[in-house]
Amino acid sequence: MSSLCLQRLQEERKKWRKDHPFGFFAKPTKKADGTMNLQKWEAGIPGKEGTIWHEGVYPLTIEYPDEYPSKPPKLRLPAGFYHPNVYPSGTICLSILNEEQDWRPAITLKQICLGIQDLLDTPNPNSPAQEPAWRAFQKNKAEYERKVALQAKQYAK
Amino acid sequence: MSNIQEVVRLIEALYSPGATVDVNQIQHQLQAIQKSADGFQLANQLLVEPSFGPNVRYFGALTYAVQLHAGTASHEALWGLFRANLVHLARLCGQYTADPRANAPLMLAIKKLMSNLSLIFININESDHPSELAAAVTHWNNPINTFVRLLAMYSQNSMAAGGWTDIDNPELVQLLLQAINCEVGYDELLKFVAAAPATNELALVFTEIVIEDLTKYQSRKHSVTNVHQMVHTHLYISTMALLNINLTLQLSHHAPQSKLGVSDTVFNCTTAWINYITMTRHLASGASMDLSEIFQNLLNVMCQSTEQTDGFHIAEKVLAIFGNVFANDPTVMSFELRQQCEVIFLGISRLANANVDTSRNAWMLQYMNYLVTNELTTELKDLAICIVDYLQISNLDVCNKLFTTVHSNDAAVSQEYIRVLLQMTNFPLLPVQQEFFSVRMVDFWADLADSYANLPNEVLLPNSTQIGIDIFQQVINIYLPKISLENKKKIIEEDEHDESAVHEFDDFRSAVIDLSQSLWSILGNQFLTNILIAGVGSADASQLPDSGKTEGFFQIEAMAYLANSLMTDMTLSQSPWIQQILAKNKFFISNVLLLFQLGIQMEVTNKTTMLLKIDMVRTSTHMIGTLAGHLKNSAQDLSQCIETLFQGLDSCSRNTSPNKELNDKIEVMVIKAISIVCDVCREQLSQQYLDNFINVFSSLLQPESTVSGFTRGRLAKSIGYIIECRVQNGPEEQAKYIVQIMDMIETFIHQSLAAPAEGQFYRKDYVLNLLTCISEFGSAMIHDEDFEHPLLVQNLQQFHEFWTADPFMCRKKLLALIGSIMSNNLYNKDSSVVEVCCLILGKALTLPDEDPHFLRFPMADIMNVVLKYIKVVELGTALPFFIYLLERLVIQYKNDFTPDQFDFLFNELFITYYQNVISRDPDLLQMTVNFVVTLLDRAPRLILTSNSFATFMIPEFMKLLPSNEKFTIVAITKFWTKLINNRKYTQEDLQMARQAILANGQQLVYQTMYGLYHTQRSDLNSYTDLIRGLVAKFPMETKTWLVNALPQICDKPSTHETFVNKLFVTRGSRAAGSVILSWWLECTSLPSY
Repeated sequence: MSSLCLQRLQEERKKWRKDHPFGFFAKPTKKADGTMNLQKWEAGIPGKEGTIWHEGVYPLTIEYPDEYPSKPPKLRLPAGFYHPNVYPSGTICLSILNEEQDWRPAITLKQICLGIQDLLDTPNPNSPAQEPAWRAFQKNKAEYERKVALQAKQYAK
Repeated sequence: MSNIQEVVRLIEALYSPGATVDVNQIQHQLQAIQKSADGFQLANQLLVEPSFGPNVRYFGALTYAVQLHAGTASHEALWGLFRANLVHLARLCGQYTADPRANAPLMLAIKKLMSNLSLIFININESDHPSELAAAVTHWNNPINTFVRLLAMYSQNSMAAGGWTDIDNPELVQLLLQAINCEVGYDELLKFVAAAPATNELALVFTEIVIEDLTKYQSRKHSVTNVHQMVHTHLYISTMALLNINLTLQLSHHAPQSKLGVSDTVFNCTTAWINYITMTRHLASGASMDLSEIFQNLLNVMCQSTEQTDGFHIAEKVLAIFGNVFANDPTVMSFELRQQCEVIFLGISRLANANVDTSRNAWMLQYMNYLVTNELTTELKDLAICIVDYLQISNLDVCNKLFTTVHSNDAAVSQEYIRVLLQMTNFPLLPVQQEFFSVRMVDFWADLADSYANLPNEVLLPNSTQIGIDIFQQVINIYLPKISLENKKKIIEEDEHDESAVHEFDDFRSAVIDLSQSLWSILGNQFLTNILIAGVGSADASQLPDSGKTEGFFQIEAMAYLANSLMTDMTLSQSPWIQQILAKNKFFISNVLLLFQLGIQMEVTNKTTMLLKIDMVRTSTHMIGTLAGHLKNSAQDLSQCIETLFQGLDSCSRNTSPNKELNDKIEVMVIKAISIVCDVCREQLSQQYLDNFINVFSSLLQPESTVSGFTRGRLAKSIGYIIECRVQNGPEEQAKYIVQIMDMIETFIHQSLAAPAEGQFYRKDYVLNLLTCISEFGSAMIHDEDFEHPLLVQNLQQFHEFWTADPFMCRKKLLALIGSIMSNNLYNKDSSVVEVCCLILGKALTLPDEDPHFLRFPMADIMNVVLKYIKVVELGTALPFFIYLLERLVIQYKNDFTPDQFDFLFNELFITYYQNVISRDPDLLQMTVNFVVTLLDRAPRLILTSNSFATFMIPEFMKLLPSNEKFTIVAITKFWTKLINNRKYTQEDLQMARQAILANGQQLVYQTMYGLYHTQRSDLNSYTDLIRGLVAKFPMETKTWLVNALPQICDKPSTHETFVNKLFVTRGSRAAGSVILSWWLECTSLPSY
C-alpha cells in the first residue's frame, strides 16, 4: 500500500469515527494476525426511513486498491442482493464508484455510504446490473416492493 | 438605461424585502449594465454620491467585481479598477471611522471593495506581464500597508486630491502610487491600531478577507505560487504584528464590553490565517509561516477569560480555534505550545521532567465548573471534542511511555496521566445529553488499545501486560454503566421528539462495541468476556427486588450487549471454555431469557417503553442466537431457550396491539433467533422437539394468525432443518414428517381455493405465503455438507430410491395443488404466484443426481406444467420464470433431451409467442436470446441439432443485430460470438457451427457492420467482440464479406480499405478494438476523445 493510500485511509477512519451518519457503521477488518486491515472495511448501510428499505441494515464490504484515492474503492453487497443496480456478485454499479465516470479522489467514505443509501431507494434504471430486480422495478412494482421488503426483514437490525 | 436615478430605483427595488416587482427581470436588466462598457462609470457614480443608500453603494462595489470577473478588461482598464477600488475604499473607510455607529451600513460596500482588492492582489502578483499593468505597478506586496497609508493620507486631508472621488485626478493617482508598495513600520502600525477601534477593526477585516479569498482561490486548484511568497514576505508580517498587538494590548487592557466587540474580529481573522497557513504549508510553493507567538497569546488571553469579565466568551472563541487546529493540522502548533495545552487541559504533563505549572489547570476546572453549573452542554461538548482531539495527537507517545522501554520515563507520571484520563472518561453526567467526554474518549481508548496491540514484544516493559489489563479493565468498567439503557431512558424522557440525541446514544453504544472488540485482543476472555458473563449470570436475576429490578436488568442488558459482540465469531460448539464459564455462572442463560421475557412482556405506553423493549429483545435474541453453538451441547439450556423463544413468538402472534410495526420488528428478531438455533441444533432438536415444532407451525399457519409471511417462511425453513436431520429411522419416518408438513400447508391452500370468490381475493397473499413456505421447506431439505448426518451419508442410496419411488405420492399431490392454483385465474395472472410455483418445481434441479429430495420432479412433469400453463399466464411478467425453470431443466436433463423434445419445447414457449409478444418487449427478447446463449454454453449440441436453429434462431437473431436497445445488443452479439467461438464444442459441433456461419457469413457481416455503424459509442464493445471472433476464426471469408458489405453501409472507400487492411493485421486480437473504433469515428464523422 502506498503511503498516500495509507495516510488517506487513516484520515478516512478518523473522520468517520468522529462524524458519520446515524445508523451507519464502517470499520476496517482484522487480518489473521489480529492487526487492522485498512484496505478492507466492513460497513452497514441502513435503509432510509419512510422507504421500503428502512427495516434493514445492509452489509457492505469495501476494498481499497493500492492506488486509492486515485482509483475508487470497490464496494460489494452480499452476493444475490436484490437491487437493479447491484450485480449478481454483489458489486455495486454507481457512477461515483467508477473511475471513468464520476469518481474523484476527494469523495469521502461518508459520501459513498450516503450515496449507496440513496441508491437503494432510487435505483438508476439506465444502469441495470441484474435482471430480476431490474425487470420487476421496471414492470412490476408490486413484486419489486414485496421482494425488497422481504429482503429488508432478512437484514433487519 | 435613461439615467442614474432609474438605476438607483431598480437597485432599491431589487433589495427591498417583500418586493412585488419581477426580480428576475430587474436582475437581467442590471446585469446587462454591469457587464457593459458603462459598468465602470456607473459603479463610480453609485459609490461617490453621498445621498445614495448602502444597497446602492454595495451594488457599485459589486459592479467592479463583475467587471473584474469578466476578465475581458484591458490592462489599462484593470489599473483603472485597481485605482477605483482603492480610492473608494479609502474614502468609505474614512467616513466609517468618523462615526462607526452611524455609518455601519457602509461596511457592506467596504467589504465588497476589500474582496475586489484581494482578487486584484492575486491577479497582479500572479500575472505573467505585470509591467503592462501600469508603468509604476509591477507588483503589490502588502494590501495592509497600502490600506494603513491610504487611510492616513485620507484622514490628513480628505478634501485634497479632488475630495477622493475622481479616480483620474493626477494628484490622487500620485498618492495611490506612493501607497501601493509603501513600507509601514511597526510603530506606524501600532499608532494606526491605537488611533481608533474602527481603524483597527477595518485592518483586521481587510487582512481576513484577503486571506480567506486566497484560501478559497487555492482550494479551487488554481495554481498560484508567487502570491504565497508575497504573502509570506509582507502580508504575513504585518498581520501577525496586527494580531499580536490586538491580543496583547487590546484584549488585555480594554474594558470588558469593547473587548467583546473587538474579540470576534480578532478571532475570525486569526482563524482565517490559521486555515490559510495550514493549507499552504504542505504546498511545494508554501514557505513556512510560524504561528507560535499567536498561539502563545491566545493561550494567555484564554486563561485570563473569566465568568466575571466576559462570561468566558473569549475562552470559548480561543477553544474553538484550538479545536479547529487539533482536528485538522495539530502540528501547525509547536510541541512546546501543545505541552502547555496539555497542562491546561489535564493539569499534568506526560514529560516527567516538565516544569509543570498546574495553576492554569485550575482555570480549566473553573471553566468546566461554569459550563456544568450553567448546563451549557453544547459548549461542554465543544470542549470535550477539542481536548480529545488534542489527546489523539499524542496517543502513540502515551502508548510508548506506558508500555515500552523506548522512553526512559517515570512510570508514576504515566500512571498519573492515565488516571486523569480515566477520570475524564468517567465524567459524572449523562453521556450524550449532558457530557461528551466519555463519548469522544472511546476513540482515544480504542486507538491506545490498537497501538498497544501492535507493539513489538521486544520493546515491551516486563509488566506491560499487567499495566494494560489494569487500565483497560477500568475503561470497560467506566463504559458499562455509561451505555446502560437507564441512560437511554433518561435521554428519551428528556425530550421524546428529539430523535438525534437517541441516535447519538445508539451510536455511542456501537462505538463501545468496537472498543470492547479492540480491548479483547489485550484482555482476552479471562479479563473481559468472563467478567461480562459473570456480570450477567453470577446471580439469579429473578430474585432482584422490585425496587431495583429494572436497573438490574439494564445492567444485565449492557453486559450481554458487549459479551455478545465478543462471542459472535467464536465457534462455541467446540469450545470447552464456554462450558466452563457457563458452569461457573449458572444463571447466565436464564438471566438472558428473563431479559427477553421482560422485553416481550413490557407494555408499550410511550416512546420510551417502545424503544427500550426493542433494545431488550434485540440484545437477548442476539445473545441466544450467538449461544446456539453452546446449546448443541446442552440439552437443558436448549430446551429452556427454545421454549422461551416460542412463548415469545406465540405472544407476538396473539398480539393485537395497534403498533403493528413494533410487533413486526419484535417478531423478526424472535424468528431469526429460532431459525439460527434450529439450523445449528437441528440434530438435537430432531430427537424430541419435532412434534412440538409441528404443532406451533400448524397454529401459525392458520389464516387467523397475525404473524407475518416472513415468520411463517422462516419457521417452515427451521422445521425443514430439523426434519432434514431426522434420518436415524430410515427414509420412511422422515417422509412421514415431510408429508405431515406438506399436507398441513396443502390443506390450508385447498381451503383458501375453496373459499367464495370474494374471499379468495383477500387470501391471495396468504396462499402466496403458504406456497413460499413449501419453497422454504424444500430449500431446508437440501442436503448441507456442514450438517451432514453420518447416517444419511451411509444410507444415501436408500433415501434416493425412496424418493424416486415417492410411495406417499408427495410430488403427485403437490403437482395437483400447483395445477389447481395455476388453473385459477385469480392466481395464474399473478407473476409472484407463478414465480414461487416455478421455484418449487425447480428446487431440486441443480442438486447432484445422488442427493435425495422430495421435490425432485421428473422432466416430463415439469414440462407438462410449463406447456399447460404457459397458455394462461400473463406472459409479459410470467415468462421469465418459465424461462428460468426451463433453463435449469434443460441443463439438468441435457443428456435425456432429444432434439425433437427440445424443438417442441422451444416452439411452444418461444416461437409461438415470438412475433406477438416476445419481439415487442426488449426484456423478453433479451431473456430468450440469453436462454439460447446459456444452452450454447452448457449443451451446445441441443441448439446446433435442433430444427429451430436453422429455421428460427439464425434468421431471427440475424435481424436483431442492428438493435437500438443496449440489452438486446449485448445479448445478441453474445449469441453470435458464442456460436463462432465456443470451447465446449466437440469436433462435430464445431463443424455444424462453421457450416452455419459460412452459409450466412455475408449477411452476418453486413448486419453486424450495419449495426455497428448505427450504434452508440458505449455499445461498440459488444460488436467489437463479435468482429474479433469472425476475424480470428474466419479470416479469409470475413475479409471478402467485409469488402462486399462495407460499401453498402456508407460511401467512404478509403476508410473501408484502411480498416480492412489494419483489421486483418490484428488477427482478431485486442488491438482490433482501436481499429474498429477508428473506422466508426471516421464513418460517423464524430470526434475522438
